[in-house]
Amino acid sequence: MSRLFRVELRRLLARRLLRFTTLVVVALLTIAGAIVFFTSDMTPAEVERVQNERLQSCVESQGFGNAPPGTTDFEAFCREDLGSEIDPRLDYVEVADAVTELGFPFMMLGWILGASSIGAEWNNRTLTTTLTWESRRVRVLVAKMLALVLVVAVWILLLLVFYALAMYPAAAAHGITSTVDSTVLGDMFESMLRVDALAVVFALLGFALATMGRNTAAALGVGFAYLAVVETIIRGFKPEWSDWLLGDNISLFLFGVGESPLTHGQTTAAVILVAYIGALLLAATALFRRREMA
Amino acid sequence: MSVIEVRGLKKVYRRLRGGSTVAVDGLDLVVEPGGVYGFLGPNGSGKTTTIRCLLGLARPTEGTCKIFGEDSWTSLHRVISKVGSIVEAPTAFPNFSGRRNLELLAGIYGLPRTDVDKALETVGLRDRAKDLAKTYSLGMKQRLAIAGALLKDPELLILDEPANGLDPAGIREVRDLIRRLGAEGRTVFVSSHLLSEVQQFCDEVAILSRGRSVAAGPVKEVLSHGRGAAMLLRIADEDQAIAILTAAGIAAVRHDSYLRVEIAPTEGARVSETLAGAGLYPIELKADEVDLETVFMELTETLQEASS
Repeated sequence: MSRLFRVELRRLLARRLLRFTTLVVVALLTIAGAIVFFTSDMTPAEVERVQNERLQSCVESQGFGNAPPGTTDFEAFCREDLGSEIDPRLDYVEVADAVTELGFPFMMLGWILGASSIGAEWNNRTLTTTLTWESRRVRVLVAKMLALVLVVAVWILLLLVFYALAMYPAAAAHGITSTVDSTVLGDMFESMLRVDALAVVFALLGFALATMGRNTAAALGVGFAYLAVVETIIRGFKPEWSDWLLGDNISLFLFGVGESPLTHGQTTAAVILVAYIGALLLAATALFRRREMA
Repeated sequence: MSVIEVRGLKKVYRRLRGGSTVAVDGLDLVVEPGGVYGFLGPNGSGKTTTIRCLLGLARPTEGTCKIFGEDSWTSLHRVISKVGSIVEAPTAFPNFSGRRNLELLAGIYGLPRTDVDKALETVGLRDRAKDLAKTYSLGMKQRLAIAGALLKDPELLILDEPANGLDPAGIREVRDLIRRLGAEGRTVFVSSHLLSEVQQFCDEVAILSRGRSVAAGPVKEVLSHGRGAAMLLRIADEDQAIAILTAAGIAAVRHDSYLRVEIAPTEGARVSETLAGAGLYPIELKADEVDLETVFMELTETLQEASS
């Protein structure tokens, strides 16, 4: 089994899709970092002007409706309410907060890699050849799953770390890094792990669907149709079922309870996601075990 | 113990729109260790289905398939390390080099790189080993697949149409390779629809038609197919030759543009002598050799007549 795992690891790492996607994502993040770097350079006068505009806007709207009844000194209220948001310079804390916003694209990357890792094997009929070397099908499939989990987990985490590094020069040179402490870094790392976990879950989702459908495109199509169409319809007609929908639990797991309408917490969301993926993987394995190989 | 043992193999494919296709119908087959065994039949006769059942890639509807005594569907893993195979068209990751494709396979058993080099050398792909598999011709892909099958240094090789896509030189190389592998003491089970081609290097054959074995055994026995040894004679005066030979106790009948003389080729001199004694001289005298294709056609015609 360990040899199968190592072979699959080598295969995944040698895949063009992984290398090409890594290059593209690294290039995009570098460009984003450069754009932020060159557009975040503000003179003290510009900083002061924007701060005044923001303060003025808040005061004119009487604290954007947030001020408690009886407030008369709206300027004081706005200064306190806006806090660090009044400063237009790039605060590295914002970079840390934005990690969760990367959840969706990185989940998609995991999904595509997971689906294509086995879809390509069906397409090229190389699974047949593998089975003439190791005929225990469950072993073959489990080795592939484990290798996929490891590759996606490390890959996505490295890309997220690269994102954090790509944004740092702009904050260090033209923004604020003094607000970054161990708590902020800890929170950022936790967000990265959540995004990473979701990318792995989606990779396994793609893997399971492609194993059953014997096709990458089918896996992506079915997954997309379910998430974008079926769950939207269910959400519309049976909102009370939202607690059990994949999309809602993903959002809850990623963004936290504060922004979720669901009645349970993040841990339950994680358990639901793991249960769904586990069931799908079991079904895929059972099917693969009995399937006729072309 | 037999290397391959197939008993009452039946494989039925159900169609989605109802109905079914019987790909293999009650096949029995025993392959003993050593030598080259030809598994022959036209396209669609059930060869690949049988091989897929043998390699645990498809589940028999009825009957059993065993390799080295182990059931192919349930316990093939105990002997799979002794079996090298190609099933149907060659498979490879198109965006990996030929070498990387083989290295991935070798990695499953922890085989050293030198084994990969050796396999590439054997099939004559060493110079193109670094090229992507997608740039290979069909023949080169076939060679790569053969290299993959040889990589395990297997006791049994199951090769499904190994000459597919090869040019005449390639076919000859594969033929020589199979012959050599058989001579080394391995068992080579090779399927082909090119009956006459396979006849040249097989020790034993089984001929399949519509999922059933219509003949099996040593090549010579299958070729003779119940007929006695004979020679073909071309001569100017056929009527007189028939009369003279019949009078001498040698049966002769017209056969296309020849006379078919019922006598072993080793006694060909007796025919010449008898005819020369009567002042008749053969234009041509040769052994009546049949090929597997002819035998196959005769067998299937007989079967068709019997069934109608």
